[in-house]
Amino acid sequence: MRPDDRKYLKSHEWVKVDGDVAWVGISDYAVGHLSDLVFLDLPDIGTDLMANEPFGEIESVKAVSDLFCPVTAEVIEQNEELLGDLSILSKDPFEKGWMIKVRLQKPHELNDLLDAAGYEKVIQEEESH
Amino acid sequence: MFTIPEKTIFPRTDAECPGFDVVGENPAIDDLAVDLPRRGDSCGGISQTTEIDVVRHYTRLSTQNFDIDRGMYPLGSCTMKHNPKLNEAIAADGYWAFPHPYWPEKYLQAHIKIMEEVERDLREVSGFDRVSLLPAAGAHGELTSVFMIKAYHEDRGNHHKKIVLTPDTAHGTNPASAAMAGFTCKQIPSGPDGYLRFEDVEPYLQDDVAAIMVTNPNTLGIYERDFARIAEAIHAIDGLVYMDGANFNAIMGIFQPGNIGADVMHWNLHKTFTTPHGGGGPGSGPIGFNKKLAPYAPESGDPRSIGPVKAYLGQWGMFIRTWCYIRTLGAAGLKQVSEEAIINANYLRRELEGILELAYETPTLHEAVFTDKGFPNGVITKDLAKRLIDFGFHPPTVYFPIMVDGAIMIEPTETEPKIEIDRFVAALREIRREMDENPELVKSAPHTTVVRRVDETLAARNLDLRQAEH
Amino acid sequence: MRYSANTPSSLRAMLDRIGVTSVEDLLGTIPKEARLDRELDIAGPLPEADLVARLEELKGARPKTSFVGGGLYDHYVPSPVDALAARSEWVTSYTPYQAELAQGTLVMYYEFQTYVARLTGQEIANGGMYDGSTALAEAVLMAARVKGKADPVVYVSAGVHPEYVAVLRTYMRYIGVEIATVDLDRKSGATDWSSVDAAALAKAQAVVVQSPNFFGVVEDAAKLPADAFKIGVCTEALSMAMLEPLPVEIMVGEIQSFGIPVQLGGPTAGFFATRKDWVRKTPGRLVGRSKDADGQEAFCITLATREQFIRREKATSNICTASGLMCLRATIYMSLLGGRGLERLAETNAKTARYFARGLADLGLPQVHSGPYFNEFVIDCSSRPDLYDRLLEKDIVLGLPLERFYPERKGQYLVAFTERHHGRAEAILQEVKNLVHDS
Repeated sequence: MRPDDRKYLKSHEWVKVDGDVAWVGISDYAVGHLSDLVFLDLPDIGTDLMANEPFGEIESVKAVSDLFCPVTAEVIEQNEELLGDLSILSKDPFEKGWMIKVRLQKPHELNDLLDAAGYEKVIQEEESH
Repeated sequence: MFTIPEKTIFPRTDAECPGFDVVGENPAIDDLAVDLPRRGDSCGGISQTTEIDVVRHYTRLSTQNFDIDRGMYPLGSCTMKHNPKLNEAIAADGYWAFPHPYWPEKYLQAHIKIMEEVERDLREVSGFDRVSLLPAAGAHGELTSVFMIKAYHEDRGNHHKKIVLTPDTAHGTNPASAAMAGFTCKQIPSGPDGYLRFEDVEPYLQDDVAAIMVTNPNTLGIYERDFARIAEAIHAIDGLVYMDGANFNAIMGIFQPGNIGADVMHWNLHKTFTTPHGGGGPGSGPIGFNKKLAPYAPESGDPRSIGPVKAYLGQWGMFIRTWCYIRTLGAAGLKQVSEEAIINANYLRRELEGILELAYETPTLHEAVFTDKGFPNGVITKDLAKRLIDFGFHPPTVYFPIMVDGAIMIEPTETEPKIEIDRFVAALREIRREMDENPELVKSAPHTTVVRRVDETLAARNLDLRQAEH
Repeated sequence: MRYSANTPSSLRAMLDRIGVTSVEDLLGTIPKEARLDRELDIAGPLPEADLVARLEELKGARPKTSFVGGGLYDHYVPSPVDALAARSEWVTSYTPYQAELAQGTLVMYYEFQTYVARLTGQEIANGGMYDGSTALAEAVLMAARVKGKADPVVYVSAGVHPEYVAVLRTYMRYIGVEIATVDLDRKSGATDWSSVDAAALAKAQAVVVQSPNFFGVVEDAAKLPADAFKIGVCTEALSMAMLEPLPVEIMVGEIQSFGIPVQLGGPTAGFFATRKDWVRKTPGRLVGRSKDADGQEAFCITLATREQFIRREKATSNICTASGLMCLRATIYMSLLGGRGLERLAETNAKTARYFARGLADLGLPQVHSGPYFNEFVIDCSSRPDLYDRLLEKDIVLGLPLERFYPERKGQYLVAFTERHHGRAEAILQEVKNLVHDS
């Protein structure tokens, strides 16, 4: 079971909320499928993000994946440490591996997201394929 | 003797070297003053080298390449067939190699004649009404075609047509080209038998569809049996059909794309017509198209033309090679090329039964795609590819097409003799045995190359794209 | 069929093994109505000796002397370039996806990237483009990716090669980017940047300048619009050996001058150089230095995730096969001459051009523009309207009649001089003189 203090997207991003701010990252399952990470592209501070729209890209040697933002929000911080050392993602994707800190603009959107149990089902389905 | 890798030219250059002078002295000229500021830094620090050093360096470097002249190069969809020496000898002749496109036509008559004949033969072999020789490579031919498709729709006021359909078997260049002309791509999954089924295309046939791009035979080597029906349905919504001609080498004299519903297609002269691949080009990507698209062609002279896609006249050096190839073979020879490519590929496929698992059981033409399903001990496609090198073969195309997991795409071409195919099959059989008995040997291959497996992750993480300054 | 590798008996053996009687049985998936029901109508087959004879018959006259440049230059190709580049290992190898089998090609691309970066004064360069004209179009597309929000307009100097501008127009028209022209100063022939509002230039997607420009005039780097996203173009690579690199964001151009025959303008090779920070936004192939499993230096294609075969419709370009063999020629050429050799050759070109400029002016064929030039310039022949044709009768091509692209420049000819004209300069000029005096 993944941490249940946050919400998830089917596309394996998580969002952890504290008041009107939140942290966004990707799950250990996603990291496991993106071997040999080489580059992370994150939006500038001040960028307005839309829910379910790409906010950045993560790149391995042979693949590149869009990162989807679970909520409509404004970027207020990038994880500088992570940008300098992508290996943090494989070690601690849920805490130290956060990608962006955002200010929520439509907090009610959180209700549309998966909880930890719902996300677990998504993973089980994917693995059964 | 060749186990010591040749390094780059940079560390071995010497400021004391005399260098190479192209011309001598002319006192009438050499004392003239030139009123220009000079950068004066030896071109940013390009060092002097001696002639013998340059000759040795590039000779040694060349020996670190695998090439068709050394052995079988069964890259699926890339069509690495024999590059005739005759083509190279003719193309290097100064009469053919040195003319300037801005010379008056009286000096270019022979060249124009060759181009006209190539154009005519490409029309005949494809069944299209017109040919443009201009595009610089296959992907560039695709782009030219997509621009023409865009121009067609704009001319007809079809501004709502923004979608280009591609099957998941498509080369990446198809969607990339479509995007460059401002289209949005939708990818259609191919059916369980590896071809694009009409019923899978049908739901996409909305009024916003501008075109479909289909490779035929597709990248699995399978004839797209619903092609004509799909083309008809696309035409019914005023869409256009682009046929990717990457696999044209399989169909000469067998069918003509212009007669099965395609509106436009490109050739890779370096695949079908034996112009060399040259370590990544130059290619040449002429396109054939029907009357419907003729007004929009680069050189149509019509105000609706898309305009040129490249300066000058196209890849002339490839046209003369193509002419030599076509004239050497004639009509019957070209058909035989395709037939023997199909026989060789089907023989190879048959021989590989029990060694590699096919991605699809459907009959194939000039190539076949296998998978790494059933490989024991954690061995994957990449390992097989690298181990083949130790047996003296270039690996096949791997991990393409993308919807086949661990794809191994093999195209022997018609220029490989049976005996060479048999050797290749024997190598694969042996590697398959090694996977069971000595998997580490396979996983750590290659063992016989000038370098071992290259760390691509390191290359992408620590980008080093040029020699640092001295 | 000459290149067939099989005999009737080996073909028979293969068909038997497949379990079919003839190749027709292997074509069963192709519907009858799709099949071609006749033989192709194509000439041949010709035995090699006959084919060569046929080509010899086709050959016609060729110019004795040509002053034609205009983006493609008749430079001498040193014999080592031809000899080395003709090796099978370069000619018949594929794009170096399998790094262990392609270290030769990969090292060559790395050298090419280094040379181009040094020559252009940019931080990085890619492994080449089809040619200069398509490199320019790709540079403008990249400008949009780098710049993000920008006015959908590209300001192009009227000194940019007209065929390059036409290609750019094709690439831009379907994505809604407008091309605006920045006029030249009539007298100097250099771009008059003051004729356009500086704020408009800064807001534009890109500004394009060529130097030396199509009329041979070396542009003044100090006058380039400081705040604009500038793309520099160079069609005579040899000029870069002498002149300061242009202070631009992307530098592109044609490298044909370095060991590549003119061959009607194709194949040649384009170069593409820019800043390291923007490497993920560049089109084309990149080769990087890395290590192999034993920790030894080794090279491979890198950042392939930008390319079409991985990123498909979101790729930085659709380009796949580029111009490897031509990049090889240019790389060997630069290695052979070295920086100082290239500088000396550039001096020779500039001096030869000055010799002819003076000689032609003495004949009443003055230069049209007063701006500085490298090895090419425009002359005014309106006082001798028949001269071009009269010289042609002697198989001398005076230059490019500019009327071909610019009706208002009737009577003006673009003439280029290289080291090819250096040794016989007096004799060539004398021949022109004789004709002028005779007429």
